[in-house]
Amino acid sequence: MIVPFGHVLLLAALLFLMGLSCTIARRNLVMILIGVEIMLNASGLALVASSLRWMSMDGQALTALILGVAASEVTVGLALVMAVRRASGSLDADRQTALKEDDR
Amino acid sequence: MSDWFYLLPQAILCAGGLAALGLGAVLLRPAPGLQLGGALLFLAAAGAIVLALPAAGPVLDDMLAFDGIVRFYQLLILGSAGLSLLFASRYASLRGLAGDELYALVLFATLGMLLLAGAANWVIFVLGLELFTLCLYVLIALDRGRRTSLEAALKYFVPGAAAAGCLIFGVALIYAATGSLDLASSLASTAAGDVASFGPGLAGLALILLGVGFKLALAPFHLWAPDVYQGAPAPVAAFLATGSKVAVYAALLRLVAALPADAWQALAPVFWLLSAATLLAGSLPALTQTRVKRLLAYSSVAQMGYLLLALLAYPAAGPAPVMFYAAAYVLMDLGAFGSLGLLSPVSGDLDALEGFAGLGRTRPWPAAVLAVSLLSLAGLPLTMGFVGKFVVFVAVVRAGYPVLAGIGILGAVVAAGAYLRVLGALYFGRPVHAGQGQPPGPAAYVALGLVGALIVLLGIVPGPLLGLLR
Amino acid sequence: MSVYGVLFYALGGLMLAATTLAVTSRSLVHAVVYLVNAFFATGLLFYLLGAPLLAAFEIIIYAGAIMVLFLFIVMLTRQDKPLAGGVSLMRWLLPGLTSLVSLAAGTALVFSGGATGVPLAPAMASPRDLGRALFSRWWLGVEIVSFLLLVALVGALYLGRAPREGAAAGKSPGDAP
Repeated sequence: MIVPFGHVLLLAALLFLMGLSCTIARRNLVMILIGVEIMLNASGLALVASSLRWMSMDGQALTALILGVAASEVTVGLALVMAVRRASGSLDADRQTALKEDDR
Repeated sequence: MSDWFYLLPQAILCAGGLAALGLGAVLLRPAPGLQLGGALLFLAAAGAIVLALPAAGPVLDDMLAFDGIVRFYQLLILGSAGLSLLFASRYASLRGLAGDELYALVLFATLGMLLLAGAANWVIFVLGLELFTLCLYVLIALDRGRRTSLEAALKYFVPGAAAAGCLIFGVALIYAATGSLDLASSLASTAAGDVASFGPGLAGLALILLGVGFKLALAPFHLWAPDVYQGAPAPVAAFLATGSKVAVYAALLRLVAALPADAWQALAPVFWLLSAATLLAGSLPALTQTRVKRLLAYSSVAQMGYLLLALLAYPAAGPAPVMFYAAAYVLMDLGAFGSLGLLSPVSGDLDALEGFAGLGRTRPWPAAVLAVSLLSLAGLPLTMGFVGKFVVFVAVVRAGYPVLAGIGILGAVVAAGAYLRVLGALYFGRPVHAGQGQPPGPAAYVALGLVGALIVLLGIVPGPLLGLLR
Repeated sequence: MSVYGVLFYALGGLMLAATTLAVTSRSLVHAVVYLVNAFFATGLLFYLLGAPLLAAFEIIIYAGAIMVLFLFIVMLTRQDKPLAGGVSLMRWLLPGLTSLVSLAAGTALVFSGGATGVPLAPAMASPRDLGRALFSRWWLGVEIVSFLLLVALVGALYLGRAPREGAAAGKSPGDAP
């Protein structure tokens, strides 16, 4: 026996919440992307553990596919971040304010 | 019939996207007509096959489902992609944006939407959703020299990536609780267990609904929508507002259909609150908007509220209201955003209300389709929007949610005021810019004619389509 | 507690510590380096949970490719100085509180027994098993991911090229400058 299944899930949930908090609370665009990576990584952990719990390969297969999802998402995300920085000169999410409600 | 035929529409779209990319690589500057015609040909071929395939249970190792509802939504998605391209082609070539990327990414996005609409398990669900969102991130940033376009893409990317993370973790939790990645069977066993053993499953379902809510821009997750629609090029906004919403909505419909009755009883209050909040959050801010693209964004949020109403009535009233209203929504938003793009000058999309003054006289055809779409969004009689709202409200009252129908009618009345301001500017304002904007070109006239005619025709004689959907 | 258990808790503690440091770090370079540590620990945990091939992928793709990409962007944008203003407490308040509530609920669920109390028995899935599952059961997913990567490539190329001046004058930007 390794550990109870619930403990792995709890670890994954902790990591996921940290990643989510990071995307919500940080202003730097690169940090926001890092938060997303942490969330996807936590999903992978939960899937691999469940794969062991249910003795089926489905979870591991989905984890492998999610690696591809994470890689492609981060590629487009970073390219977008670079383009935004070129246009606005800032990596701060709060400074992207060309689009907003009209002041009145 | 072999299962493989059910993959044919998707395979055709793959081939189409690759062909568009290859064309761009071989001919350095392919004629826009060639690209547009080719893309439409692939979309039409996929549509013809979707139309011809007989309904079946899960096919291809339980990867895809294909029944009447899936067929209808897939046709809507293909139609939305085709019409968006018709609206986009001249818009894009006038602005120097009509590279092979535009056509390839629209085809790949359509592929992802078809997969999502027909997903029978969570893997295809997640991957289909990711595929079209990734294409949309780039499509929104299509006008990459313009800061607003990039910022809109960023504002779609950040919540979108967070929502994707939530959704994937939700899927992981559902798999942890049930040991199955099959959509129907995992949902059935999540709902069957007691809370202590299947707590992770319920948490997973909540996270998935959160992710879906973000993609559909349901209140309180709708705050990204106005900024993104305002900054995105108008034909891309049309595709974003129609194709992606309809695909996610089709998937949500599958989820609801797969839930056992007692789980649906428990979830119905959540959907009640969501739809009431979405209706109000979409209708009330529309009233004070002075920017037409933001107004349309809020209106599309409100339309999602009506679609949720129809979803609430789905178990009681059957699929006809959800399908009819989705079709009406696609046509109305395509017409509104598409004609807005055609009315816009090359220097930037029309947005401020004053810019629309007098266009009803100087640019009669695009302005007329915009007016018809707005009237339909407002739910005035003789339009498809009226019939759609009527069918939905009847179904909702029959399903036992009269209060919600009341909120819906209130929202429609409030929002109608906002649309009438735009109509007033179009037809009674004094023209400010003489001769702005370019002639739309034949492709866009086809799209304008189709959308306008269908909205009016199906508003006057909805019977045949409604009968077909029942 | 078995040696597996000790390893699990040690790696889990390492992951949590490294991720916390990464999330709250004021310097982007530090954040990325902490995260590489966290991903290494995840890779080892994957091995412990019976997924050796995924453990290798995790280290090659996450800790290797993706994190190097991040480092490149940090260097390219000259963001290697500490972030001005850093981390404001007010912004952490809402996510922190919601996380605490969900965590409390999760802990209660885990320790109330039921299905989550099932002990995990050590087992190992060989790379062959994973390959078989991927390419016989989930082949459609593999195909979709291949298109996902193609789209990412096209998108990154499109966004990465600076738009040419005068692109709005009707020239196609599709060809290389």
